[in-house]
Amino acid sequence: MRTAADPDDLLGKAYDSRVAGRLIGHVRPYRAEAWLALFLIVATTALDLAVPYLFGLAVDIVNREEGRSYFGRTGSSALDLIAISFLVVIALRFIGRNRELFIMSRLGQKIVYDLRSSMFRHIQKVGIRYIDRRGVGSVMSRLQNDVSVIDQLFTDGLIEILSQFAILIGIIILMWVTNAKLAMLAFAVLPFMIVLMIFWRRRAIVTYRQTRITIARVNGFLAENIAGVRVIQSFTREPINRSQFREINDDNLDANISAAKLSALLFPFVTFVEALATALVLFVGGRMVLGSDAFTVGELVFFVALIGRFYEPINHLSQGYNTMQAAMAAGERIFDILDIDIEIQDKPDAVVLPRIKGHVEFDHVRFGYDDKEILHDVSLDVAPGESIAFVGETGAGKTSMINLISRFYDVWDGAIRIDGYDVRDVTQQSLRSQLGVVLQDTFLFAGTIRENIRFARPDASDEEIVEAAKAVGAHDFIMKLNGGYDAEVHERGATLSVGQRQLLSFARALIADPRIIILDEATSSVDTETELVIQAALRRLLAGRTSFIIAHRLSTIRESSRVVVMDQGRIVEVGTHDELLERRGIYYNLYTMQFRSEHAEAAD
Amino acid sequence: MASPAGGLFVRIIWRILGFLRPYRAALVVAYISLFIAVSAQLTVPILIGHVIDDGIAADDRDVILTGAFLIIGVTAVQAIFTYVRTFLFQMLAERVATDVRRRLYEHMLTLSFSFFDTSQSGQLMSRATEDVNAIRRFMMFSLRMAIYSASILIIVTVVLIREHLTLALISLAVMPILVWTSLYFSNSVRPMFARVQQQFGEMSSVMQENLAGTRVVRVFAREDDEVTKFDSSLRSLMARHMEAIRYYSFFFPFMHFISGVSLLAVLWYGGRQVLNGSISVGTLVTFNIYLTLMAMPIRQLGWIMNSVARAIASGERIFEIIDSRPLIRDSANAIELAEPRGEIRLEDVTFTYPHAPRPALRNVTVDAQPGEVIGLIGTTGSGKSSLTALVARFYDVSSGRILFDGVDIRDLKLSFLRRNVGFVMQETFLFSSTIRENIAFGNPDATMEQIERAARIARAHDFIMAMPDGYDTKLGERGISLSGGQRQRVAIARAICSDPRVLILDDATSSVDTETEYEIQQALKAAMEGRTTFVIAQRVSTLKDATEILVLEDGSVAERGTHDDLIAAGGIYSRLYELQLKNQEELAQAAD
Repeated sequence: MRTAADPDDLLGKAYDSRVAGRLIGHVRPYRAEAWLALFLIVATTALDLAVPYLFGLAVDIVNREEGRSYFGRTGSSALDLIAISFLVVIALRFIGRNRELFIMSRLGQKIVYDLRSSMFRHIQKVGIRYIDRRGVGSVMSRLQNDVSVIDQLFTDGLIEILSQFAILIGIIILMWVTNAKLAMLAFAVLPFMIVLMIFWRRRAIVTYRQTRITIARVNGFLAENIAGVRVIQSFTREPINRSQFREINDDNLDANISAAKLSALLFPFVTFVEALATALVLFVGGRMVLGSDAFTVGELVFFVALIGRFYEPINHLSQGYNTMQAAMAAGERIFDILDIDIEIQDKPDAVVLPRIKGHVEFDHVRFGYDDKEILHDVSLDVAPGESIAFVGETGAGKTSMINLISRFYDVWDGAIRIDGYDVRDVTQQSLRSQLGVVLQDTFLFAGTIRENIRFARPDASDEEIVEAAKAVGAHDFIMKLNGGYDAEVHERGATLSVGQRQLLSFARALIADPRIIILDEATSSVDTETELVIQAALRRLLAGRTSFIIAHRLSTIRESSRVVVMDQGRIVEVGTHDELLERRGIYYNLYTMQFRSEHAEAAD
Repeated sequence: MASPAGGLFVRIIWRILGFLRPYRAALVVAYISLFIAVSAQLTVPILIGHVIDDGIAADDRDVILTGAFLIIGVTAVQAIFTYVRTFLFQMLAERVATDVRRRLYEHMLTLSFSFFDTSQSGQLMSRATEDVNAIRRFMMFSLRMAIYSASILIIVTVVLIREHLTLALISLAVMPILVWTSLYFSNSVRPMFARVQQQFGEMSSVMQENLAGTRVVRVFAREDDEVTKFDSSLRSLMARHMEAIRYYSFFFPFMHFISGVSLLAVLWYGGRQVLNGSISVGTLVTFNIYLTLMAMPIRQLGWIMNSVARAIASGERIFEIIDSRPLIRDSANAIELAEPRGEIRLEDVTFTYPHAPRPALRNVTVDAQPGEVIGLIGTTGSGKSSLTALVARFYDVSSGRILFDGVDIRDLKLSFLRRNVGFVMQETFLFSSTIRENIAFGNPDATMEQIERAARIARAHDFIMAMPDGYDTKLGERGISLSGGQRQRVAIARAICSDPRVLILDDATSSVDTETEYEIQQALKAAMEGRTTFVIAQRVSTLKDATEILVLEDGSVAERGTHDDLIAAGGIYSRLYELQLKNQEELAQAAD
């Protein structure tokens, strides 16, 4: 199993048949375009090689000693003809390249669109726990960076790789046809070069890995220090952190300099090998022109030009190799997302849950995450209009209970029924649209207040929105905002106070007029005035509905019709607040313990 | 770049180049190597022409042999110096990037809270990553390419003109078109890429919102609408991409075509000159190779301009941070106190946040003696946190003064003051190092005993020992995370471990389960012993034992006194007390 942190550290393969196969699968809908692009690449490569060929021909035509003919003409009329051919070749190459680039890039865009869209769609369906575990940042980086790498592959890498490859083959053929003996000579230095390149690559992989590791450390340190700068300053840690950063930063510098030493070798080396080949060919070829062989100066010039072009692709292919390698790694991470099992799916014969009354039944429910069972044989019958407060320690199973009602997970055993319908037999859409859920983290979206309230029911009218806001006591503060209902809520609702955000999330839950309310009460303390407003709002939100509350406030617990005390995945006590206190059982202990400080105070 | 801001651009470029000052010698060597390598490179086509004319055409085998050896020799020189300059330019780029990053980081550490209040951490981060990278690429690529292109251009032009004036003029005729096209292209494609970038950002924020709010999306069954929204932002992204693609898929081949035209000119006109004997075949070949050599840097001209433009924009953003002056600094003759006691006095303090329309604190006077506890209560925005931030001098007062042991804190060394003022903040920030390092954060020399003692006082020792590696457990790794209450207790231990004279507890129990609140209350009580303490709280119960309680309202002290005084006075505080205690009293009755 790879963890999120180390894919970068691993040596990537430049070709992974499984990943490549699936990527090609995404090309399939656009095969016609792909073939066309491929054809254009081959065609423009041929045109590209025609340029030095025509030049070599021109040299022989103008060279009196050779006096070669072109389409039966010699001298200046042949030269004119060559010039016209040349113009046609470069014009065709222009058009071909243009189409090739355009088609290939557009193909890349379409594939990128498909990938992002299907990843996003898939993520909407996978379990929330996946996102929690991976973190928003990690999932985002797959949709952003990894897909961008694939984008690069199509718009840049693939054309480069394919056309350089085509050029390489074209050059080998042309050299061979022009003069086999010289071609052998030109290739003589090749094995030597390939061995050195392989050696270089091996070193480079290690060195570059070091640069990636060290820069990740630098960035991690920076990110944390920027986020925690206030803590650093208040503990006067500046000198220590400064020297820590110097060390990390310098490690990165060292790694980069080692990488520079290595990478700077490649280009001069290839240039030198190329010159070696050129000199060899000039020397032997020159003597061949002078000797009896049927070899012309023009052919020699053509040959020398081909050598110049021959080593260029080798340089490019090395970059192409990197692109491929990156694409394979990115592809793997992309498919990693697309391959996550969707745990909760509508059954093929799922029915639409009709308008409910709010009768909820837990029938011998067993449930857990991974292999760990959290809820053991829990049963609870809740009549329409009842309000249930769950209390218990962290890990007692309260959150699991409410998650099961909205069917974020499926039970292992037993069933949950709403108005007699097993939640697994109805569509998720029809189920969730009848539940009003208020989460502990009152997440608001970037957008207006109005849009945020409307989020739960897109067809709600403006009047209904105002009504909902009034019902929870949010109307007054909304009207005081600059822009009222059209005021923009900033990232994570930063411009609103904690209390205001809670009221908005109440209004959002209320707008759909759900029969069942599920509430995970916020723990953060607010000032007392706000507290009172929230309590009043809560009362209105819950009135006449079935409700399930993970309660943290005493007032909420006291007003519930039944308190359900949970301990280690079981329901241990059920009753009203007063009943349970009188019973002096677990609830009594829990509460005298939890509110001891305040209790002691009140007892003064 | 003939814009009115041209002068500014030059100044920024100049400052960016200023980063190279420590490495002047290396830069000079790099440029000398570059010149030698270019000269060698440009000698090769002449040698090839020489072999063709004086060797092959003149039937002289010795010339062919020496020519071949000369080519190898000259290229060896070229290769060596190319290596030197490639390495040096890369090294310079890396060194400058490292320096700039360090300067940015070290400067950020000196900036005051007011700076961080108004900047987003994501933005600051991208200064240190993307912007530094833009400078790095500029150093590595443009600095070299600009001079390389210029020297090739000049040398080739001179050589060609000396070889054959008319042929040179004809073959160079398209170069201005190529230059213009390249610049025109880079100028017009830049805004297109900027639009792609912008739309990419928009797509990302749709994604980010969806992922961060994934629970809300699901509980309200809005997945389909989200998919529609995302798809539409993807379509816009694609459309913007296509705009740029349409453009560059024309321009790249077009520039290639233009350089082809110049070859055509050489081939056609030069060929005629060979035919009528005014130039040699060798010269024609030399011309051909030269033009190919020359077209490459010209086609890259656009990219150079882009990289320069990006470096300017990045440089501007980096300098903006480096140039921002820390508002809070040691005064020239700042002192330290030998034996700090921790007496804090605020005298008629008024404070307004930078750019805020109204003061956050008005005429506040407080006297806190060592061992005393000052309670602060009031609604959100009433000025409680501002008051405590002033004590640690995260901001300077607008008027009035704050005294530490009778000395104005502006006359004390900042490091001294902050060492003696410990904070437990509302939002606990722990670093991704071990628990031990986190507790010893403010006192890196703390012994293991001191760390453990602090943890015990903070009621953190037991849960720490239950962690896989005890005090050496690394936070933020392998999914190890602490609950809100645990984090809070580690933060309290951290404050205790640095043993400050003054302790500030900013609503330290605000985001904690009721389950752990009791323990944290106990921890805090233990932590306060023997120190001057400021406690910000929402609950009256937390403040009951305070020496003095200040009820803040809109930045002013509305009421002050002990708990009993305030209850007796029957004002805001007593009303809060009644509201809060109603519940508890009933609980108490029920429990008894």
